[in-house]
Amino acid sequence: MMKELVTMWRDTRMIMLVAVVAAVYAALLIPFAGLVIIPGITAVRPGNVIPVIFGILFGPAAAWGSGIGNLINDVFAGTFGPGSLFGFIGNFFFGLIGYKLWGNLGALSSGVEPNFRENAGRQLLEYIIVVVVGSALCASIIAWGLEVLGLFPFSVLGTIILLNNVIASVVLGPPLLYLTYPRIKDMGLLYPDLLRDEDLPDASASRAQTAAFGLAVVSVVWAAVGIAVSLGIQDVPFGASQGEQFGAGGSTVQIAIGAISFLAVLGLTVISGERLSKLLD
Amino acid sequence: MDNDPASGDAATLEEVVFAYERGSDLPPADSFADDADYDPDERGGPVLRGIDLGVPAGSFTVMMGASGGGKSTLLRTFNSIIPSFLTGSFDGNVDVLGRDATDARVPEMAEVVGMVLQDYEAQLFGTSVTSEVAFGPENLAVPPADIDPRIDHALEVVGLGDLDRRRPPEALSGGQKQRLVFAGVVANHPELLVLDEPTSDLDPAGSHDTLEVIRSLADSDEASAPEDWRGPETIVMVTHDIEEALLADHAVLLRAGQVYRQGPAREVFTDVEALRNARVAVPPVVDVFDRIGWSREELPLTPAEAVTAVEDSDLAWTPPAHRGETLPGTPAGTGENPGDPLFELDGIVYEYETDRESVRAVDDVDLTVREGEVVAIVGHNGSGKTTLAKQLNGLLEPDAGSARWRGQDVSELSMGEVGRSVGYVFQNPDHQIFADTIREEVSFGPENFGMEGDALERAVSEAVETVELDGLEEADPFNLSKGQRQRVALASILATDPDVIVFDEPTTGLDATQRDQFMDLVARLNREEGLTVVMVTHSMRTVARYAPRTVVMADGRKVADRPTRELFADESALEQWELQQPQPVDLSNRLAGVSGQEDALPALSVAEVVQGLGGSDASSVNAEAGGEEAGVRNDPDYGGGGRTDGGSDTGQTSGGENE
Amino acid sequence: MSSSPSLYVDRDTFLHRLNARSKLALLVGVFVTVYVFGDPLWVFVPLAATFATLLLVGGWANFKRLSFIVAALFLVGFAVWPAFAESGGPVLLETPLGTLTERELLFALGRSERIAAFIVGGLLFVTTTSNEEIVAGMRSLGFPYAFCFAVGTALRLFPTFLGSANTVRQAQAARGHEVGGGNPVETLRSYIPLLIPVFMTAIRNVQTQAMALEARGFDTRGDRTFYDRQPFGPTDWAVAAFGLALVVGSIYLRLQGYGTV
Repeated sequence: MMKELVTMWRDTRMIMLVAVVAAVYAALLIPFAGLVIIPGITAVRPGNVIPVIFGILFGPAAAWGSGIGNLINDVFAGTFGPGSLFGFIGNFFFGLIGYKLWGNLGALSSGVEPNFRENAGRQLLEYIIVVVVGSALCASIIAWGLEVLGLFPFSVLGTIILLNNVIASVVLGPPLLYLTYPRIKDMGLLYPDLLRDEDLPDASASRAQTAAFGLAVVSVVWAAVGIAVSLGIQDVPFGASQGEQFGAGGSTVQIAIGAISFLAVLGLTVISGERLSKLLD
Repeated sequence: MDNDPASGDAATLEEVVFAYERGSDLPPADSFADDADYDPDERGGPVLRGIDLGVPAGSFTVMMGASGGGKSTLLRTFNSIIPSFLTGSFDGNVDVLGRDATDARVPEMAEVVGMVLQDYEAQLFGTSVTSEVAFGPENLAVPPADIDPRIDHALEVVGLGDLDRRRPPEALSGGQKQRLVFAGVVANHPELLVLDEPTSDLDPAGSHDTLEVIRSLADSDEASAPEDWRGPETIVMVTHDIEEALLADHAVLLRAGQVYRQGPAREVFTDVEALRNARVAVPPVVDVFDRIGWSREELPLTPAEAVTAVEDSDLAWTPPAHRGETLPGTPAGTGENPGDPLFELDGIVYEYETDRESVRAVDDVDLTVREGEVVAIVGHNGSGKTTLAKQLNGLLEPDAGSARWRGQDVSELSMGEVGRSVGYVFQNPDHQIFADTIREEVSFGPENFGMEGDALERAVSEAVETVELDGLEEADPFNLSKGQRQRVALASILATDPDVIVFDEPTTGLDATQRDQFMDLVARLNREEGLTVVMVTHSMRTVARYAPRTVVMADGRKVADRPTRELFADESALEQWELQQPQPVDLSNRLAGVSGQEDALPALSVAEVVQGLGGSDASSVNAEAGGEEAGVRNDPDYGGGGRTDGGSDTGQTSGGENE
Repeated sequence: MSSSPSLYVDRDTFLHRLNARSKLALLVGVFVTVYVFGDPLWVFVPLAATFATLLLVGGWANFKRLSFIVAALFLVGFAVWPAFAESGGPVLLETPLGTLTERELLFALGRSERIAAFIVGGLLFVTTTSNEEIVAGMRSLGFPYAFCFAVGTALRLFPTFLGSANTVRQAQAARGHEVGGGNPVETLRSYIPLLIPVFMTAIRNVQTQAMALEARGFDTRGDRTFYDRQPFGPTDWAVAAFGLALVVGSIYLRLQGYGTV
């Protein structure tokens, strides 16, 4: 069960980590602009690597922290609004995917701790899968939300967020984990070292693996189908029924796909586990 | 606060043994020898090695000892952080105010024990002054109606009664932040207050204000105190600062994880031999009269006591120099024979833009620095001293005026051109350390400036050797002590072979040993390599020892630029700019005053005071001026710095903040 | 030495005095109004009202700071939406790439106004609500305490980390480090010497912070009290009711067929 997302709130250090992850995330999105693609709209920001790597290191604290950090960034950047809710949820799952997937991808997993010091090639493969899945899920949730709000079509934000997150995380993640993982492990702040055994998810290895693969498939399919639908590929009418059936919202098909996918993600999260605690033993 | 022996002990520790590593086999408490050479920093070894201690109820107890000697660790047992939060391996009994602290959770102990740590940034959690102070009482489930008076009282006690309570903590100065931390702890109405180096991170003004808070908490008979709480009954404090330590009435010396001496503060702080054995710096005034040969019973503790004692004796004060005479050099022999001008700043103006206004941080400042000089820039936080320093290597560009480096305009030089010649060491080494090994970290700068191959390797090795970290090239800089990390930062600048190094408060947050070790290294580079040094600092002791010339900044303007010895003779100027005299300076100024020598210039070190009183300690003075390592190391005023073995920072003398 | 990055403007206006919850209700009312209507004229009313209020409470500097983003998002929305809207009405523009009909234009304009109105509305909220009030508001809306605490502490730490990010940038610049590079990958990688010190200084403090927290009595298991529950007065009730009226009224009008393209 995903009880760690609740039980972590009993541990002072985990709570402090939520606040620190959130503050670092919010703070780094502002001064380090990175590659500006369209000024004011989109940039590949180095800060976007935070949910993935902190997710792997700090587990549930990073999931909550990433969500809160994005919210705080909205408050300080002046983009606080209805979309902030979806920004919160999207970044929450971006942080969640890291520790749900690492080590739980069967043959695709490296089977070692994410320090990029041994089996580096296989770690890279595993890491890229984590990044793509996390980015796809984050992008889909936010793009879906803004489509529901009728602010931007799914394909516009979905593609932008997906690419921004994947590029920043793939380029920066491995060297950052190489430099931070051993140090944070030394400090005893990895999430398996902070959560008591009974507070960790008790999913069996096979169920944890099933949930991980399920999350991966749903996330990637959702993003792909969502973008395809939004671009009017196949039989779905281009910009299907914008703003009619659902009042002022986005396309009906898009909203339905999103709702189903999101429910699937929730269900899979409920049965999911984690693996780092076993890799440490 | 009365020290009433009848009231017993507020805290009692019996046979306490503790190691940070979990699950280690602890030897029994009585098996530890009293071993002065024990290095508690060795990973995994017990840090507390059989502590037996009683803290008298109603006392103000100060604990001192060498770095790594277990002082802070010992404090953590008073509120169950050890062994409940930092579990490690623990054995022994701890009784605090009648509670078994080995079997309590930290939040439970918070009902009776309050704790203030060095780093105020890590202790503030609120979004406003009010919420910060209310936080503790809320945690203790104090009824909301009772929290109001607690907030009023706590803010009053720490001198923040007039502060706008809706302000967020981040908008306060460092000293105000630490006082807010005190207010948050005071609002919990603790019976025992535990302080772990509460002023180490503060500037002089902040330290001074915080000391006032501690003083008023120690005198708990305040009229404004609520009826049910009249201040903490007992205070325990760890400090490196001798002035702070002298506030206490009871003192404990720790050595190698054991209690080495304890007793009334006056007895302990005049026991020169015990202090030296525990590697705690002897208070400078005590040191002076001990060297002159006075007996232990006669030794004064403070400059005021010393003046009275001298007047009652047959000693006479001969100052090192008078106004108008040739100035003697610095105690460290630094900054002699300056050469050609390196920097010429002319009419520099720099403004910060905030949302609502522009702030003139540097206002029309001229400054010339010559080759081989050591110049100190002092002033309050916010006086513009750091902003001025950042003009030197082009980190900030002036809004008006010009900055020239060897005759060339800095703004026309690239960072690569000027950055290589002008190294800049920031206050906190953690703001630059990122690489996996010391070698990579030190290579980063020279590589950026285009060095490669053998030349790079040589430069890096030399720099690492200079800062005495050779042998540790492959170590992770992150795991070093703070003093060592600051030396890594210095090495990473030295490796680019600069002509000048600008230091921005290089010793803040370091203890006395680490600070002296660091500054002696800088002094040696100046003496031997002719390195020009500009240092922004608020440590007046560092200024006195190392900088023959001092620039004073106030409100963005340069208000003084004169020889340090002359500046320290000008007591009204020091007062006006709130610069505190180091104790040897204070003492010699007082002695000059009572002996009617109006034009006397002050002594800058203990050795100079001893000499001025006719003491036979000339050898030490010569050693200081010559700066020989061996001589420096033998001078207790140095706090044991200047070691050459490149080992860890532990096992050295602590204490001796003589400001 | 830098000023606080907060957008909060400390004034004493009607909106500032409101409880965060009633302000939120009002905001929801505005958001729903903006959301249900598509006609640019209908969307313009709440947008203009919100903008005027923002000016009244002293938010012009904030708007100026964000005006670039608002304009950019407005233009992007305006450029993107015609492609996703059904065409209809007279053709206004013919290009080799396609045509722009009146309906597409109105639709896009409405959507872009909605984007702007959301931002201006959010800005109005953060301009008049301090961090303190945001956290207290969340608390009184029933969010669990530990969660609110984490948000409050993150808000408190945010400016500290922002400051340390700028210091780190200067410290590495002084060592000859330049951000940027020949290609995007190099540009991103050049941030590593900046990111690591910011991360590690932040995380190094977690242990001490958690220790200090518990030493102040912070306990996730024990009981606690709450000081300073913000009053929810008659004015707040009135404003919240107005917010609700906006929601109900706008949905009613929309169902009657008003305000669509």
